[in-house]
Amino acid sequence: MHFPKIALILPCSLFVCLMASARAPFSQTQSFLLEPEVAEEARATVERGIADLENEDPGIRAGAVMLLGKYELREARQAVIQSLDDPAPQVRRAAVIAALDWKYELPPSGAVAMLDRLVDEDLEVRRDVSAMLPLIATKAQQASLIQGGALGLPQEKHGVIRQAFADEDPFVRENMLAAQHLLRVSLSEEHWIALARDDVPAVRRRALPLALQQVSFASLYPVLHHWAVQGEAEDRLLVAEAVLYQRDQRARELLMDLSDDPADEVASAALIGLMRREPSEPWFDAIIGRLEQGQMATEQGKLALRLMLSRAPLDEARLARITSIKRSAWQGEIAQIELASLMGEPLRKAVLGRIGSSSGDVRRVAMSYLSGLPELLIEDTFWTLLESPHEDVRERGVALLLQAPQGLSGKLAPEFLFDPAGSVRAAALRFVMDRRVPGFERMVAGAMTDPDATVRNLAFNSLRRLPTEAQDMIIKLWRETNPEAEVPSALRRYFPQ
Amino acid sequence: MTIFPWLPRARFAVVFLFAATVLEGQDQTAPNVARVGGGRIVQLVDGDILRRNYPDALPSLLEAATESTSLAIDPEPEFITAFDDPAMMGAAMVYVNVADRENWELTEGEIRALRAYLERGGFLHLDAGISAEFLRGGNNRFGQSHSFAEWQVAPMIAEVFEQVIPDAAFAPMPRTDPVFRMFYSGLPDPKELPESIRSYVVNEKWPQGTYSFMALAVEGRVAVVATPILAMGWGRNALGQWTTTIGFRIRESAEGLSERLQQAVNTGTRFETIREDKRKDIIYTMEAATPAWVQEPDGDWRIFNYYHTNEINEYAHAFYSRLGVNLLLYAFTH
Repeated sequence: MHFPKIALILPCSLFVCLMASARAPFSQTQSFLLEPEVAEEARATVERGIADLENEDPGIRAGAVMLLGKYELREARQAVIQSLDDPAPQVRRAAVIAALDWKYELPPSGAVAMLDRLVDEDLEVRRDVSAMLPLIATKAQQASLIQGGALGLPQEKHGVIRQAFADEDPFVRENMLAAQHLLRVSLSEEHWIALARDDVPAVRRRALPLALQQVSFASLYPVLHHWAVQGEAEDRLLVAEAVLYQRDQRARELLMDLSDDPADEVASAALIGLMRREPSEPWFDAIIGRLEQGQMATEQGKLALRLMLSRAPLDEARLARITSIKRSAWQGEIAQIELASLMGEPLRKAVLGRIGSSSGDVRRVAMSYLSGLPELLIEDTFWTLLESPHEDVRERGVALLLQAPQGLSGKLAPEFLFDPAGSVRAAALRFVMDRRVPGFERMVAGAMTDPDATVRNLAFNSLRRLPTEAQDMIIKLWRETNPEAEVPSALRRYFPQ
Repeated sequence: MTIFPWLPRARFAVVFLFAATVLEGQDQTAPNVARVGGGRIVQLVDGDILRRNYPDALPSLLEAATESTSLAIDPEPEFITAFDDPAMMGAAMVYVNVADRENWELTEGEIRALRAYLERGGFLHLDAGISAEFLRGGNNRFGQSHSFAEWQVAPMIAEVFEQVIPDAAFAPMPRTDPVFRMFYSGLPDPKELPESIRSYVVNEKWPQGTYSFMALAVEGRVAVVATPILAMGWGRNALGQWTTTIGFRIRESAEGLSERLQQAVNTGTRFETIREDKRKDIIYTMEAATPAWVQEPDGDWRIFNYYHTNEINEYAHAFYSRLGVNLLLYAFTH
């Protein structure tokens, strides 16, 4: 081996060296240019390590690999990569761990060599390698490009990758599926079907949606049917969602079977799927029926209603059923707002009437409609919001001030500063600061003694964003009202000692 | 300025009484146990709250504690910017990620307020208050992403508390301390861990589910606990997924490696870290904040290897979350 006499230049470009320095700004970090005597000693260490790799004792070889892995010298790294093929599993484990620790400095050739370890006889090696597949695949693709090949993993490695998808260990199979989009290796239909039928839930739940993209529905149907009948609720839900867009008549049959599933979430997903395919009355009735019984989890219920109302005109009787869904239930109230919207009815009553709903969901929907109705953002509406018993409504009211005419927002924003809830006062303070509402200096000074720490923090921190004159005025105003107060440390930077 | 106008001296006692009653029968399968009114945790962040370290961590931990124990705590902490904020006085626990405060020179007012808070029953958790020398060097970033067990608080923390509680000093919390058994006892089931590291994790890294905690007692009561960074293992996103990925740093040995390491040259720097029994490990790094190998006090040399697999990530999060829950319950009952 030969090393430069003056300095040992490690295998990295100047750019990488600078980046490394930037990452580690203090001096006791890494020195790429070693003093000659240190370089000599490092070389001696690496040479001893490489010599140890010839030892018959696998323990000594494993120790040598661990040590060599710590050095950035080309020879050391090459030796570690070669040890990936060592006959002893403990040496291969050490080599994999050492090489993976180089992270993005892993040489492309090392990444390619590591792909072979996906079928290593040692389980830990396979798990370690498969867990880092995104890194390894990225680097291995670079190797292919360097050699003038196409983007993708070297063709000769496709076999081991396919084999790894069928690993006996579920963690490995799951890791392979997680990195599947990076591997760009085609699997046979049998492979996909086997993965989708996997006994381990985490594996099959990752595999099933992917399999549907790769394999014909007809081929996968027996698996889908199997899980629809024998799977856990989560499997059945996955099937209901996976077959949603399949045109095959058997997909409809699966959805039909699942539409009376004992698990509400599964049955609801199946009904939504059926309604998407066929926006017709039987499904409307089934969904309305479930909603009337208080079924359908929150998000599914909202989705179902929106779909139903947008897919087809409903007759009077069904509309009446929707609007009379238990008044206390959010679905009914939201439906009323959305119905009013879809049917072109005046929204004012539907929206304002629900700002006081006891359901946070209903209030949120009502407020979101309000922001889309600028004609409703008048002073009366803001007083309704300001006097609401619900903190979220008052807080959202502050946000809506942004849409109000400037004169109105300037008049109303200070009112929100007297709100009993700290979160509302904080939102209002942000507003008066951002919009520089006339007199905001006095408002900020007042907020500095707010009983809520968040509001005080906001007031203190707002000083940073203000010009000096405004800072001075706020501090003066604060001093006027708090002549004896000790200056909190957060404010101290603004006060002359 | 009146620093604690409304400090309810009896409040902590009431919390203790309730907590002790409920925790005696701690049973994760019993949903109908009355909730202990824990109130709010106060978190100190000096600077922009939105830029604090691990913003998901404490809310996730508080939520996990509320779900798994009978403690009822508001999942949103109340923020203060300094220890002289009166909001601290009503809180049973103050949480500080040490890196969330740049300048640890406390003002006179802060020293007085913090002393009073601790003397009146308050509890302070200094997360990342233990940060080994190789993680410092003027850059807090490393101490946030590397949790390294050492039995010595960061020097700046030691200096601060010499002023706050002059007649006491930080001492290691023994492995037998109840803090490690408040709700969760022992380690999560290690059977999923890779075989080659299992023994190290179970016997050396986190024996019996313990970790390196340093405690400061005030009037005989543990009032301050400093730990290596725990928050990196707490945070979950809105989908319930962990927001960080954690690997393991494992000390390993092999035939003849100790002798080879003695002769090896390191291109980084040499640091010392303190063990539980006050003996020293000498750490050799090759790159910043990444120990390469160690000379242990008994003369052995071992190498540090880094493992990153899904099961390790899950395991580490489970462990840090359990420690966090235990520490919360400890704070509310002590």
